[in-house]
Amino acid sequence: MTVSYENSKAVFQGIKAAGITSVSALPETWLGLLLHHAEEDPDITLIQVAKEEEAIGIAAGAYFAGERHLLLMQNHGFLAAINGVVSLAQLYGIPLCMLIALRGHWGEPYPWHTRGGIVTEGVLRALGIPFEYARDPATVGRQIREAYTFSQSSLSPVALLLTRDLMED
Amino acid sequence: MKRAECIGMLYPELDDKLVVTIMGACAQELYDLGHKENFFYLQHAMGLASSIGLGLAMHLPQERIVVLDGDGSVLMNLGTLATMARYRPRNLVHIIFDNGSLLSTGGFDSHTSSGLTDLAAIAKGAGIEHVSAVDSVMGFGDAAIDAFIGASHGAPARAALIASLPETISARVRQRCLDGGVIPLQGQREAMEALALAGAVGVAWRSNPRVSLQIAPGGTRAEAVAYTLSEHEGKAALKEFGVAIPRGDLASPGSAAERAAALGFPVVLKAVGAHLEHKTEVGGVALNIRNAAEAEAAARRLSALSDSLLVEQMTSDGVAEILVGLIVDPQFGQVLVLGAGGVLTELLSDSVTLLPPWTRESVQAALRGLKVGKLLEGHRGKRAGDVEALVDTVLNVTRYASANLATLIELDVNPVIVRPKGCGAVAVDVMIRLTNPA
Repeated sequence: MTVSYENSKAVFQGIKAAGITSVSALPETWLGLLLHHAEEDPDITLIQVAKEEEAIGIAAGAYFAGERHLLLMQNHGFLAAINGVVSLAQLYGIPLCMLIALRGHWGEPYPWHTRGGIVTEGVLRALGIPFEYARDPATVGRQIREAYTFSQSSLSPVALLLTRDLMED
Repeated sequence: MKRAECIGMLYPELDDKLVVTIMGACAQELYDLGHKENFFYLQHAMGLASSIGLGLAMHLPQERIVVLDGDGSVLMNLGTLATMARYRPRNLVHIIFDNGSLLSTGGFDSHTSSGLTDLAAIAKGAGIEHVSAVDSVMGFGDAAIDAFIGASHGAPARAALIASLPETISARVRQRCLDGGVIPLQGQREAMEALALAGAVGVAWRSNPRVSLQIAPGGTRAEAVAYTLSEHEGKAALKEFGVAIPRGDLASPGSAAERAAALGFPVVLKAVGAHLEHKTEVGGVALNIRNAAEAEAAARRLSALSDSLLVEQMTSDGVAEILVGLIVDPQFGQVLVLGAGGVLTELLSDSVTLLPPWTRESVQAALRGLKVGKLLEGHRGKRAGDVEALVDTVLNVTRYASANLATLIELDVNPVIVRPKGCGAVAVDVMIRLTNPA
């Protein structure tokens, strides 16, 4: 199993087409190629964080600054960021457009990913965070654009889950 | 040191900055001083004030951000220090009030209370370039200055600290600024004046990058051994460089009238001698002499001043009188001075100074800028002057100055009489002071 070069590119093109100019991220395998694209793009400010909860604060600062910001993280990182999501983004009505690598789900060979993968959807539901699965490179661009739009109109966190179908070859 | 005192000290500086505070006493103390729309008090979301500040700083580089944080909050988000160090936003000041306590939740000791955990050391270790740990209000003020000095290094401009009133900046703070390469400016009005002047100097340097100063290699001249050429010698010296002078010669008082007749009237008679630099004031000049009788009378009168007289043809069709001078400035070397000449020199403040290289264009532009320049162009129906000949005269004078760089102290051609267009320009009085080369 390898990370899909073509589909990573499709995701990045979707990010660009959505007019995103600022990205916060904590690197992980599925997001690696995407981050390289972001790093090389002169029109995107990439901020790598030490822990995902930090990115919630940075996303709030970017939103206050009027910047079109997007968060990239793994689902375990999302779990680590929950207090920020709840007590900053949801409490203050700050939009978050989160692209979350959904590890530990259908087809997962590694046991250490499975617990997080199994609970991610339930946690999102419990938090009232709207989410979609991204499986098809042909539609992921539209999904990113729509996720961003929805986060802005609802002033709340929105998650697009990047699946194995999309991210691996 | 009281946190409230520090916040009170900061408060006047916060008007034009974006401020993020943590919840609890810090937010309350800031709010009590008077809320402003650029203040954001982060309730809950423990630890994220610093991250919000970083997000603001990175996306609003033209704004300045202040985060008021606490030890408990920072301990919950230590990674933020490393992220800040990585992106080094120069517009972010992160102030951590370390009371060693989780005060808002019952006053339990935080990790820093034992003295084992050192937040400043952690920040330094994280790679943050400028970290100050302070324990007094005075130290807090100093640290703020140091943060400013630190932020100014590597900035694309010079940094200055402006005190609102001249007397409110102490000698200690002033010295601290100077040592750090920051300019202390005392008083708002004074600072604005200084900045305007500095701007003008900058524009001047940028507008003429071709300046090449003419400074004698020997440096300062020995004024004690300086001497003045007689008017006749001075004129002869300039004539060798192509400067037009009146026809004429030296004569004794007894032969002056005869010499005048040979030249043709009207003439001018002048007493000549090194002690007669200001001969007009001592009555050493007789102008517009129209016949032999007038010449004899003038020569008799002038013989009291000198036994050597200069008899010259009078230039009577002048359109304008121009001063052409050269002075030697200790810093800039030879400087050319152009201005209204003759009796107007001291009446009108109408002169301009030019640094080398002196070119036809720079001389023409300088003459156009003079009030008396209007006369040269033909004022109120009068005839225009021979500006080309005047420019030639000026350039010839500068060639003399360049050739005598090592010895020239001062040169005054006052005036050059500019005749109508096509008729030339004549140096009717010349004063040259020289010294032996250093």
